[in-house]
Amino acid sequence: MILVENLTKRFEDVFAVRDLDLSIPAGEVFAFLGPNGAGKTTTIKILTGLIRPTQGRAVLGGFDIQKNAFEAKKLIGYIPDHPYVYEKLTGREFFTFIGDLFGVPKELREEKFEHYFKLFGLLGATDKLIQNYSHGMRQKLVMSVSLMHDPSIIVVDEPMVGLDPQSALVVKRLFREKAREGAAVFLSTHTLSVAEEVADRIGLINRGKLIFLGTLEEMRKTTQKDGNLEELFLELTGREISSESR
Amino acid sequence: MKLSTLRIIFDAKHRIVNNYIRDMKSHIWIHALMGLGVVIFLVGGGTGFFFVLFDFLLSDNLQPFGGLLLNHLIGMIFLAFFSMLVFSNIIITLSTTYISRELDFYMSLPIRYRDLFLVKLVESIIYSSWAFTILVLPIFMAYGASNKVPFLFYPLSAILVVPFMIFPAALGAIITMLVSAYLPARKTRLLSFFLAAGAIIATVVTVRILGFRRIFSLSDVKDFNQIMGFLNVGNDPVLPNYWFTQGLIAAGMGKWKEWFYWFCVLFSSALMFMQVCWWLVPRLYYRGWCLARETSSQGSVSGRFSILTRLDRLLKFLPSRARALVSKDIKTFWRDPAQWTQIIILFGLLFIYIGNLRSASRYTGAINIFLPRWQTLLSFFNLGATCFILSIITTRFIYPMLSLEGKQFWAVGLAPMDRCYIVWEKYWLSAITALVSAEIMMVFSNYILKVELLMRMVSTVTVFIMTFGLTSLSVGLGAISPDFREDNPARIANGFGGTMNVVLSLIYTGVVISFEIFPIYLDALGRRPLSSWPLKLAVPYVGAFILVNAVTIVLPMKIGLARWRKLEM
Repeated sequence: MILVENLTKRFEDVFAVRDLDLSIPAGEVFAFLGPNGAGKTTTIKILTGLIRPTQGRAVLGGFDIQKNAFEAKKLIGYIPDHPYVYEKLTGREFFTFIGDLFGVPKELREEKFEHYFKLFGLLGATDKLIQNYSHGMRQKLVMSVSLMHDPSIIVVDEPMVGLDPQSALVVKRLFREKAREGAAVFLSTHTLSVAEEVADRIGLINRGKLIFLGTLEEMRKTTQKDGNLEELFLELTGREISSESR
Repeated sequence: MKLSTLRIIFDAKHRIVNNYIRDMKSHIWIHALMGLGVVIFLVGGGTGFFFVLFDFLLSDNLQPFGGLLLNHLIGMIFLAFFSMLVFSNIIITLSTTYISRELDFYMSLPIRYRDLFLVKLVESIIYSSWAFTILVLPIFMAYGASNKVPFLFYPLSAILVVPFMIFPAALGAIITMLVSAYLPARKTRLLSFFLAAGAIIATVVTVRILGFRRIFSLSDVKDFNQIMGFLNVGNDPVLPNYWFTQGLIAAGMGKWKEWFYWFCVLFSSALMFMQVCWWLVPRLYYRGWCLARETSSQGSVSGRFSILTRLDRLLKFLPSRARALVSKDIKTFWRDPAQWTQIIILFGLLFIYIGNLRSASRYTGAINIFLPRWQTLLSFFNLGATCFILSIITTRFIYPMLSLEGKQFWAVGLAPMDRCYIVWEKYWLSAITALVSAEIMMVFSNYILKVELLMRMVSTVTVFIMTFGLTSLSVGLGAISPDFREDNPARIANGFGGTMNVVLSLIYTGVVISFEIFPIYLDALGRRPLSSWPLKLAVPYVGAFILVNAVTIVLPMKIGLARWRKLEM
């Protein structure tokens, strides 16, 4: 579903992403982890066509995001870390707007509207202007609109920021459900417990390079430690730092 | 039914406008009335001015040359409008189609680049059209009234405006696309300087080469053909302003077939440029947009613009808190191209205006016959223009300053200092910057115009006082009604508070100049020297003048500070 080959992004003298190779099949939740400035968001922006790679390619659902952007984007549901929303639209109007852009039929759109707004507890704010929504409510609204058209590829950047524990649980279950339905979920997060709970595989990037790719079990074998993801993460990234400083 | 992308986006924008208006509640009527008042004032005043000019040119004793001169003059006016529209569309396209944050949202959606570009192009046309409409309406109405045109002239002229606005929008978009595909967004500053400088140099060179100045000197002009030759620059048949002018003239004379011909010429040419745009978009737009995003988000600024990096040392004389706030404000302003490109345009216009003053000041013979001591009037006009620009600048840049602190208030507001410290910092930074700029313009233009000593003193002191008054209005009103939700200074300035600010600033400018012009012009004409004014008239007159200024300088700040202290974030 998501194929990344030899992906490199260079900004002047800095390699934000270097020689990244990934393959994420349908039905998998893939957690993409790394320290701040590691290259996670750059990778996501290349996957969604917001940045051009210096080298390599990203293929989503069989479409190269650079050459067939329109076809690829129809398959993607993108949930950014700082989503842009029209504050002078109501939640319902924004949902309708995105639904029309994705060509979601009216009946299906209304069904999805009821489903997601109920799921996220937004029914009470349906006809309020988005400018009056809290950060968490906006995040939930963006998730609703991004999943409305049943994308086969879901790209998420920091989904948990601003969510209350109940909503966080809903979101985690939702990603697992979507994967069961056949979607490929590409999830970038600093909340390691989320990755630990929902991810089938984990990719760890540091300073633009992929330093680990595999399951949590494989990560334990690699590090020869039995701890949780946080401990393994710190072990691997710390190891990277100390090997570079030698 | 599958809706087109354009219709979906415009429907959403329409809803946004409706919700915005509904959200304004009671303010909307005041806002609308004030806006309408300003428009009526500008259009009415402009119509009156042009009517007097056109009627003079069409008077019997100037025929048959007056009519010809009028048509050529209109051609030149629309050439200037066309150039302004191209330039403003370049700036608007750059910000709405390349830099706007909204584009991150659209670019992640399945929207074809052509559709997105078209949406933005239509937005560009709408943004530039309202100002153009206000400029062109007085000319239509004055032309119609002085030529006694048939009624159909008005709707047909309005129809001609449509392709005349599409043409420069498409041309501006093409230029922006071509440049942005190869010149990254960081170079926007450089690009804007070159564009503005290029426009000014082109204007100055054109004026000099064609020898327009000689029109004003009766001794230099050999015959009427020479004058017409000078004016031909606005009447080249390959230029769109020529087609527009011919269409206008045809509509005024009731020649409908001829009007239709010129309409087709304009429309087909505008369509051709749109076609070029359409062809370029899939090839250049995404590339330019990516380049704009990549270079604007990367790169260290240390070591560049060494004045900025040494700012803290240059401001050492200030207390540390003031130094921190001033340094932050200067750096954030300089690093935001969307802010200072508009200052370039404003000062560019002022520079051209001063260049024209220089030309006009040499050729006084003809004008003195109609208007004795016209230099005195012109120096008041100059003073008014400087204060007008100052009003626009204070509204556009100073008024939003406190609102923009809203998002940073978690840091600035929680710092160990009196809240009002921020307000005073904005006030003094703005006042000193505005004062230096305005006084330089005033002294320089007085020197060029060779105004007499009294007027030099009056204008210099007036600008000094009014700078503090206008700054007080902008900072005070900004503190009274800040908009912390908005982070776009243009939107803040265009809101209700900003509109109030510009109207009050213009009223203040008008009142102060009215106070001065009456006694000083009478003195200049020799009809009533200033020293002949009896004390019982002079004292209240001067007292009222001082009161108006004192109230404007003190009251907005007093109320603003009181409100700011009580503000809840």
